[in-house]
Order: sequence, then structure tokens, then C-alpha cells
Amino acid sequence: MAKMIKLVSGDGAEFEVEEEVAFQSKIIKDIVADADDVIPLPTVSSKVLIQVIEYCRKHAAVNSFPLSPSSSAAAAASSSSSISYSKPVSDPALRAWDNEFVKLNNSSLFDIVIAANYLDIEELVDLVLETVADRIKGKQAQEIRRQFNIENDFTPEEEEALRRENSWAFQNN
Amino acid sequence: MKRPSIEVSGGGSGELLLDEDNNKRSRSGGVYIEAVAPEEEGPPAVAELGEDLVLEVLKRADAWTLGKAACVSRRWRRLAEDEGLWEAVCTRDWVKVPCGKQQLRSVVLALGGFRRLHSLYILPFLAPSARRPGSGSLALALQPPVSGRSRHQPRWGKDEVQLSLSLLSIGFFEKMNPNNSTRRLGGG
Repeated sequence: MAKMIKLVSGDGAEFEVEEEVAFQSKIIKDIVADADDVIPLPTVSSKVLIQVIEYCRKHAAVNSFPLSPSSSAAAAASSSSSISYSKPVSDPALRAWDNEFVKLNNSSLFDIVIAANYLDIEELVDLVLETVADRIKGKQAQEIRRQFNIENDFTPEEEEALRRENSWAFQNN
Repeated sequence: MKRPSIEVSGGGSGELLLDEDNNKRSRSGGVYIEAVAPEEEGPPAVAELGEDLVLEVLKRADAWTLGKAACVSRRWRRLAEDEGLWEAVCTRDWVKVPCGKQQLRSVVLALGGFRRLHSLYILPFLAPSARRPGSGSLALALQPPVSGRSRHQPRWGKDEVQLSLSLLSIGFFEKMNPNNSTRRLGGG
């Protein structure tokens, strides 16, 4: 019987997950090493924790099997190319699952990445950040502000000067 | 922080909602919906990402996005102008960095920095097709793993790199000379 870890969300809901699922989070792995099986996560809501656990469950299942020779070669090749901040997920089926997983609105994605960052789940953080970066690509500044709910704190003169300075970036075809 | 009451669920099998304007926002390949927050007016509440995470997002963005990001807000401008980001933007398409990374960094920073290098001496020399920002974005799953993140931009060999670095030096020294009134290289 797999060892179970209990996670408690900020709003008091309890989730029992297998150890290997919970250990996708480095933070949890460290805490459990100190012999503590009930882990309170006051900053993570149950809604977000459910999604994070779903991701961890999927990736724990995959990570427990060694890479096939072809996928490890692909991973090695891509990591030796241009500066890369992510370890590309080499399994196409898993990548497809990941892409489905992040079909969420920004509000949910931000909550997830904040939680994953707190829990130190590197691949999930990377996945969401890639998704967010993708979403702002090609967008105008006003659209980016809207997506992130950011206030424009430039004076009109500053904004005009910045637009001129960065005019090359606004040439879309 | 108020949360919208119903949202699209992760597995893609949940309910889909339209925002207040009955707009479905779609991007290439995927559909994402703004959550409806009936108890609020204005845009739905979105958690603030924090500077570290915003910087991490920008690390994964291309040069054009960085240029636009600088126009978003004062904080974003500070983050988008970070020299570390622009060093990555400049060097990610170089076949080989011509000298040690640390050496390159100190030289380029002394001569005006990577952002300046890019906008004055890299961007104008990109092939016309490469100067256009990527139209639409493919889901990562569609890109073969080996090619990583490169888009239209061809890899720069030794000569192109040396040229742009030389021009950066020349531009710097031209500015230093108060008697030099010709500014053909666009410095300034």
C-alpha cells in the first residue's frame, strides 16, 4: 500500500495523496523528510490544490518510468541548443496532456503558478510560465495590461516616448 | 481577493462561459474564456504574479514582446529592460559566443549594454522575414524538441556576431568624441 500524505488547503479541505504524487513538490518532500505527514498549505485554496494534485498525479506516473532511449536523446539534444529555461517534456502524449491542462483563464493559471512556485514544482511552474509568455506574444501593451490587470502608471508624455523608443516592437505584419 | 464563481476546469471537460460582453476569446489552437464574476464590475480579479514570476515570464518572451512589455507599466518597464533578459535575447541565436560569457558581458555592458546592442546593431540586420514577430503561436507540442525555441531568426555565425559587436564599439567611441558630428550609425 502506497504511503499517503495529507495536504490541507487554506480553506480547510483535506486531500490524501500518494507519496510519489506529493513529492512532485520539492517543498513537501523536504517537510515529509522531517517526519510530518500532515502538511498544511494555508496559502493554497482547495480549488487550486485540486488542479495541482491532478498535474502531480499525471507527472508522477510518467516520472516513475525511465525515459526511453529516443526520448532521452531528444531531451539531451534540445538542452544543448540555445539558452533554454525549460526542460522540454519529451513524451508527446504527456505534452498533449499538459497543453490541455493549461487551457484555463489567466486567473486560474496565475493561481496555479503561484502555488506551484511556493511548492517548488519546477515543471509545472515552467509549463504555466511558457503558456503565459505565449499568450502575451504578439499582444499590444494595452492587451497585456488587461490580461494581468495592471494599471498604466505612465504619464502620456512618458508613454509616447516609450512607444517611440520601442516602435520597432510594434511593427506587426 | 474575490474569485469568479465558475470557471473552465482543467481537463477541458468543464462548462464554458462567456464573459460579460458575450465574447469568446480564442487564440490559435486553444480557446480560453474570461471568467464571469457577477458580483464584481470591471475586469475579473487576477492574482498579482509578483516580480520574480513576471521576470520569469519575460525570460520566455521574444524581443518584440519585451519591447511591448516595456510600455505596460513602470514596474514592467524596469523588468523588461533588464540586461540579463536582453543578453539571452542577443545570444540565444548565436552559434557560438565569441569569448567567455563573463568577458562578453563586461565588454558589452561597458559599451552600452545588450538591449542597445540588440536594437541598434542586431535588429536592423535581421533578415526581413525575421524582423516580423512570429504570427500566432504554435502550441509547444507542435514544435519538434530539437529546434527548441528558435523561430524565423536564423542562427548567427561568427561573422555576424563580430560585426554587431564591432559596430557597438564604434558607436560607443563615436559618441565619446565631442568633435564628431556625423552620426551615421544611428547611435544616440
